[in-house]
Amino acid sequence: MGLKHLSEDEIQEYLDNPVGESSGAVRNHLENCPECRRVFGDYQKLYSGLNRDDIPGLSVSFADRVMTEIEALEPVRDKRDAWIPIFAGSMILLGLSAIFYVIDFSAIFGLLQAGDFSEALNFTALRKLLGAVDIFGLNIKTILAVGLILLATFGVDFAVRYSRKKPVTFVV
Amino acid sequence: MEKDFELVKRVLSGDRKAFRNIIVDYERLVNHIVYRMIPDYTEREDICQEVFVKVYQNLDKFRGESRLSTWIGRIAANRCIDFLQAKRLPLSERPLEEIHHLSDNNSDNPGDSLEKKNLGDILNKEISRIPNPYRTILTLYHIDELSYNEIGTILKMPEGTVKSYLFRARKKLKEILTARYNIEELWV
Repeated sequence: MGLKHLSEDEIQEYLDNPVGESSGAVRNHLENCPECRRVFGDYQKLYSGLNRDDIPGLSVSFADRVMTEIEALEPVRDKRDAWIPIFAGSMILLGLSAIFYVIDFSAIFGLLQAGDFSEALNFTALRKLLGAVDIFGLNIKTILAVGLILLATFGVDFAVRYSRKKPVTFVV
Repeated sequence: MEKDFELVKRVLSGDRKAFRNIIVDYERLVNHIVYRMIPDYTEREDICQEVFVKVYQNLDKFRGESRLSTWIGRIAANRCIDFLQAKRLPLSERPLEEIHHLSDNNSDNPGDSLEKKNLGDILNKEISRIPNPYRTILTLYHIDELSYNEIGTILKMPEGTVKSYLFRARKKLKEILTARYNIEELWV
């Protein structure tokens, strides 16, 4: 960059980033070259003009005008992760259905009505379920029920985690 | 960034006043984009208004992949393109190389410009004579202080193209100003 004049791109590059890689060489050249210093001066003037905001602004009531129009619209809601509560809710419902399907609540209520609280609290149906496991007589109904109950547990866990999550994540 | 995050969260939870803050924060940027992209300034404010309504309606689609300013800027640029297409106006005008220093019939003569000596007015006028996307890039870079990457996202062009257009625009502008005005007087 000694004898050869700076290109206009090099001058612009320097003005855009005065601490760039070649800034030292550009500075040295400018100190010793009146011709490049003149072009540099022109660009400096141009930059100072370009950095000025002379664009006519919007009216002072612009924000109010937009808000008036916004007021007539439906409120905007965060629909991005709407499937998560739906999914978690479905899993919980499925799990609850399974519980009602497997556990013989009528038998429990019958025992309660008959005043046999100790037997009712003995979880008749649960014993029945465990009994099925004990004898390895796992039928489809039992496996399905256990699976769905696990699903409900995951659903609750998922819903709890979602409710703690921030709704918007910024990625720079 | 954190402020953007909070504002978006508040709007999505139903706080419309928070949206007013978004308008106040970004109306200048939207105005600059619309001003530079659409030659018919009489419709400028209506278009800016449409941009913010669209921003409001689509806020739940904001993924945070860019800054909120860039996302809003992109919506503004897209709205301008739709507007120009609807009016059958060209998206980009004559090539930069066809802009001549002294052949423009509407240009001021050097004597007039010397009397004005108003840098802002003169530059604004000259920038409006150079074609798009050059003038939009100049404004977004110098006034709104956006990076090449952000400008590229808004105008859907690679960073390298943004930089190349910016350098060419400044070079052309400098040529015009030095040929048409007494540059020493102009910058007093």
